[in-house]
Amino acid sequence: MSNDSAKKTVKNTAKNTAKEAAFVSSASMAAELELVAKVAKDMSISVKNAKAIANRAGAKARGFAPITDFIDEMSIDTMKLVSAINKESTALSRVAISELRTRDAYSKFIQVKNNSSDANFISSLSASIENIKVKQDEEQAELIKYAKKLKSLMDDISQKMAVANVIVANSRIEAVNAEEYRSNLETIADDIDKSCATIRERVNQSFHRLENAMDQWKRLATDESNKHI
Amino acid sequence: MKATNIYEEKHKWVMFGRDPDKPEGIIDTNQYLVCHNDRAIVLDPGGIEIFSNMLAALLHHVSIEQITDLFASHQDPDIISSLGLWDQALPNAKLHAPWLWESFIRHFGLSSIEYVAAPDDGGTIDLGGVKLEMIPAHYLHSSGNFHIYDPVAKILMSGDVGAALEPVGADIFVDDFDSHIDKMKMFHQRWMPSNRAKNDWISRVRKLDVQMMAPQHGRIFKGENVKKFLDWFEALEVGTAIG
Repeated sequence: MSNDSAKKTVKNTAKNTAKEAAFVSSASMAAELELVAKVAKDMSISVKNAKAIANRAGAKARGFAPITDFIDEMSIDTMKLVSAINKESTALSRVAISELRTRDAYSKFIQVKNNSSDANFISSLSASIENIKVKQDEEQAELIKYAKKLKSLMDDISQKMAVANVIVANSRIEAVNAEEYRSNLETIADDIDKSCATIRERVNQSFHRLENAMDQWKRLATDESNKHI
Repeated sequence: MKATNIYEEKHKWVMFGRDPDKPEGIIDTNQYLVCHNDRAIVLDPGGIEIFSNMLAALLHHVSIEQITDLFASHQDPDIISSLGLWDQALPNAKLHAPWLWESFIRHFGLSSIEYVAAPDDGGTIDLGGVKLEMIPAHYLHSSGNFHIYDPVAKILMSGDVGAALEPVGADIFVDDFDSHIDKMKMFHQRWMPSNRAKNDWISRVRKLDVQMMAPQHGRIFKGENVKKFLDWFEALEVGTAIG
């Protein structure tokens, strides 16, 4: 992809994301993060290879074993986090859809109330409006709760990747001492480095996607409530 | 939305339709309200697009608490796609609809309203003393389909049977039956799939005392026009799209 078309794609993605409803974002996010799970799985395999080489290298790569153990554990944790994110984003999507429907119903009830003040039984609609407002408030609180949880899970992955960067740098130093095993270990360190970069990039994108969607949702919710005041 | 009282003696029937504010491109529909004392039922409450106008029109006649029941003759969107909104407005109501469509109709959104699944041979909806009969009308046009017969008012709410495609400003009642045929011929030939089902329904309806036949689209048939419709429908070949 050329630089220009890459810039265009980023611009279009940002534009689409800004307009996207929260339930679309969370569903898309879950799909995007599937790749993170795959990369983490590949990383776990690379680390197992590194471990086997370190075992063969014996004393020459003594410092490598704890590093590979750590990265292996981290990749398994990342897969678990992605699975948790999937669960939470599905829940967020479900609540966002329900909130959208509730908001629509609320808006329609208010419209009826405002436009039909002459109807004999218009006051009987008040209880329904109150009930639906309570439901809407509950759903909005739930939506914020799920979004916070998701951000925190994504933050956990980002932190793990930051630590992984330091560990990979250490592993390169250890690889220097591994003599004939050096180039194999360096290749594995490069692979892990690339995997971490991919995961970081994906998680960052998802994080911004979620933030944009929540901002968009808050704006719409505020506009709607101002409209009904 | 225009509201017309079509029966007002021991209880009341109101027809809603001819909505001048309905969005472009959607078929005009007739909704019916039957109310008796502190109970009311909405028959084929309509699509999501007309919900606001329908709710506003209803509140001129009954309170929210009075609407205890809904009826859906079948699963089509112009009949019941507003269900998700009624579910928020009438959490304690019951929806009477064909058992066949329960798991499909629930896709419109149903969490509070109780789905009362009508068996194939129909049944009775007791509206606090007014007993409405669910008359089987399967394959007319839907494979699970009911009409509502009120033996006191002698009204048959006939769903898509008797429907006509007309502009929004059309009259409420059929005046000249012969000139009305053109407006309903294609509808019945194309939407009704089975001659056998049609004849079964006609023989069932001929046994009832029907003074008014009220379809979900178009005009209401009164008196002699009900018989004229049954004779015309009997002679009509339906299910014509297969050649």
